Amino acid sequence: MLAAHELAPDRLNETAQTWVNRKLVYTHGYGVAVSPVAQVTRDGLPEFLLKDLPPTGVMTVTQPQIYFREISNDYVIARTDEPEFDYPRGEGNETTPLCCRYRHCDDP
Amino acid sequence: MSILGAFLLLLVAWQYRLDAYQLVYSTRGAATGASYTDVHAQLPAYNLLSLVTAATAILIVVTAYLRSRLWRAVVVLLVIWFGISILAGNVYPGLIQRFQVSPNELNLERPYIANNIEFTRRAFDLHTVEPVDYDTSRQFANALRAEPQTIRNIRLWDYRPLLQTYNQIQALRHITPLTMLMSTAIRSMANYNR
Repeated sequence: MLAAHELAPDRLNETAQTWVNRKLVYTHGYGVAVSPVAQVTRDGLPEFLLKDLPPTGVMTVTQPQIYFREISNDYVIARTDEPEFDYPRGEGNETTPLCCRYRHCDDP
Repeated sequence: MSILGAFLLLLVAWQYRLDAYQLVYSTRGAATGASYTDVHAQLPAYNLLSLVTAATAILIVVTAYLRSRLWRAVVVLLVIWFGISILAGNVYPGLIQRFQVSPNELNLERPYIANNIEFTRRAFDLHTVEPVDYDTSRQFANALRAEPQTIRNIRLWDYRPLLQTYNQIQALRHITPLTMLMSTAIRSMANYNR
């Protein structure tokens, strides 16, 4: 079973809803969660073959960015000078992560 | 002026003809498509109304050329036409649906449901599919035993509670919701053999 992380920028804080954020920064979802179809842990939770951000597990994902999503079909602009948000790493408060890992999207 | 009205009524008569064709999209009844009431009540009503409307149009034109008290005659004609259109177009099919079809729905609607099924099959090109009985003999069981990977990969997880679980334990503060992409076995994982 394979589920992809999407990005829902409209669930961000009100103060973060700027055009730059919505179209240039929060452009893609990042990562997947994978679990075997017939395994459960003792608590009834799924076993994970790939989990967390960045995706870690039995496989490596070379390009975890996902640009096409189910939530919305609004456009985004990729590969600009503005770094695109992948995931937060480090301590952060609710509205803005203090230390984010920003990356340009490398092309294949 | 009455020529215009008559022309309008002729268009309405034509509309009733087209409405008859529209009945194959009807949502009344058990299945999409023409059902018992549509075929036995609504269709005759549409045909009748088409004729009546055309007749009213002709009568209006005739009245305009013959009588002097034009308005009264025209109004009377229009009222009669309107009454017939309500009675035949709405009341009669409604009564048929309520008092004839509903008490006996399965029997009366059976051929129309069968039509629906048959043409849906044809639409998906399924009428060329030939059902074949599947061999459940011992040989099949032995063949299955020789392929444990298949058995081990039979999906037990329902994707809906799994997706909820993912969103609870993996999603990042609801900003990164997960959507299920694939819920079948990944057969190429030869290493995975717990």
